[in-house]
Amino acid sequence: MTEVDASSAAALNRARRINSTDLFCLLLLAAVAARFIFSGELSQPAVQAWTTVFVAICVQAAPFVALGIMVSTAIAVLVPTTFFARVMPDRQFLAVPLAGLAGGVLPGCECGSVPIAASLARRGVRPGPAVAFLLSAPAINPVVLVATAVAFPGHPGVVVARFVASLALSLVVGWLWGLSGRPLPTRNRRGHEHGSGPRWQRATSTAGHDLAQTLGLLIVGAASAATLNVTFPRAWLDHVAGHLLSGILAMAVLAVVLAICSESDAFIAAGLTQFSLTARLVFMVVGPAVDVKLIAMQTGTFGRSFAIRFAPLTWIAAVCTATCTGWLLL
Amino acid sequence: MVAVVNARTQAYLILLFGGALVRLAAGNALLRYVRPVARPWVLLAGIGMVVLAVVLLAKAHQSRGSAGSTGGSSFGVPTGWLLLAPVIAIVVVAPPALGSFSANRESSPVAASAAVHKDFAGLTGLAPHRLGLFDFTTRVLWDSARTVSGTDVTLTGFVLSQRNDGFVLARLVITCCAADARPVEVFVRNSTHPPEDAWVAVTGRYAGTDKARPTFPVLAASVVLPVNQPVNPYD
Repeated sequence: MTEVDASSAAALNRARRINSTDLFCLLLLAAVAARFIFSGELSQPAVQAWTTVFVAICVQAAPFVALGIMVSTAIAVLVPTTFFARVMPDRQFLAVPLAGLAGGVLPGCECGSVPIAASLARRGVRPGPAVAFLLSAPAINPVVLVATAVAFPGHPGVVVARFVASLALSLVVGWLWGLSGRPLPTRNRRGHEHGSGPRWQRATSTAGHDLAQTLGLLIVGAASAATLNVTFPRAWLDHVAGHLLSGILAMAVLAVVLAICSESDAFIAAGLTQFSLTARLVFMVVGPAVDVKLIAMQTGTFGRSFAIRFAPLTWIAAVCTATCTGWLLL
Repeated sequence: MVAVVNARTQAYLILLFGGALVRLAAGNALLRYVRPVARPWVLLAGIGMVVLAVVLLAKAHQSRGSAGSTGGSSFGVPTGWLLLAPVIAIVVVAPPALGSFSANRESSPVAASAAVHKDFAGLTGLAPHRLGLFDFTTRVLWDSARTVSGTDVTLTGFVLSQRNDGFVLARLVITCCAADARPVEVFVRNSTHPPEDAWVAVTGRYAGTDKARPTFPVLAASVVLPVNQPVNPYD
């Protein structure tokens, strides 16, 4: 198609259908109208609590998403395509632990690590190491470990156990994913190769694209986490807490549905005193690896077929590594 | 497909989201959702998004002016639309701080796990001492020096529920954001019955713990004053 054809087709399209800017204005107007029409429904305590929790998760995660986008944009723009292929060891057996430990350097929570892992994969880091980084970055960084130490005073073993279990999880899943030979598909590749011209121009379009996508996915996750936060019955926790096995499974499910940031989950775990220390360790290992917010973000970033395999595999591996670590260390 | 966001709309969406963050971080409404320490980071993230959006808008404007083609801007992602949801929630709905609805739902008492401070500083200044509910409860449970016994203290919180001989005063504690809020509760023995969810400042003396729940401190109150919701509604 020539340039002239393309532009006349685009002009025709513009004239024929509603473009996104029109829709944008309509949506805004509808929202303002809804505020007045549904003011009674909006002042229900449950609706208000939902909205507060939803906004809180979005606002709290926004700086971490921004940091993640900055790092991933820098990787996309500054790092040459062949860099990681040269630097990383050839054998995934060695590359996975290297990537897992590298994740511990980045102070952030899980929302920022998804775009970074995607940009690593685009720059030629192989699936195994990229997955190991994705799992270890939110779980074993210094901020999270210090928060855990503060939440569990007098139990230094919990900090050690959390580090060991989360690192083991990232290695096990990284190796398994590497062995399976499955790729780490990154969608919207076309958009990233769109940017030509000066480096800063490429950086801004990559950043804008990644930011809109990551925030959009975070918002899906925040909405489901807020829904579960407001509707999830807490009373049954007391019934299952007494038994070791059901306690562990209950905490593993709770970590997925509550989707609490990895920097504060230790405080929640510390408060759930009816559960054993091992069950609470499971909560802290599963949370940064699999939760409703992360599943939404991974589905959007890596595709549905990735998320369908990755989430259950990680959940089972997390429960196993955390239970074994708890049994050995706590 | 109408769901595809063009480059200009995507830039506007980022601008709105960043603007909403800046607006929140510039005022006290931010404290309904996150802790005060998050303020500079939310502000920086918001400013960064606004700057990025302005650059993208300028670029979209330029490319439209020069080539007259939308080809270079058709890469928008449909999830970009979702950015409107929190913007509408922040600007149009402006949800209040969590209150008794959440305090009633969360059953885990924070006090049982609160051995964060082993050494408590002595109370200085003249009585009544202003204490947070969390501070008061942890002192009651963990302070061997009993710094809260035999002196007047003032606690500020909201009324969670009524009982025959008083009411339950509560405050939510957050460690990261409102999603992890948990209640601290104190039973106030007094003849007044302020309405549920009302904010009050209660002055009185520590009077042991509840017989049925040993982690539940009792305050024998002499003064119960209605107050405005504090700037930071959480403890």
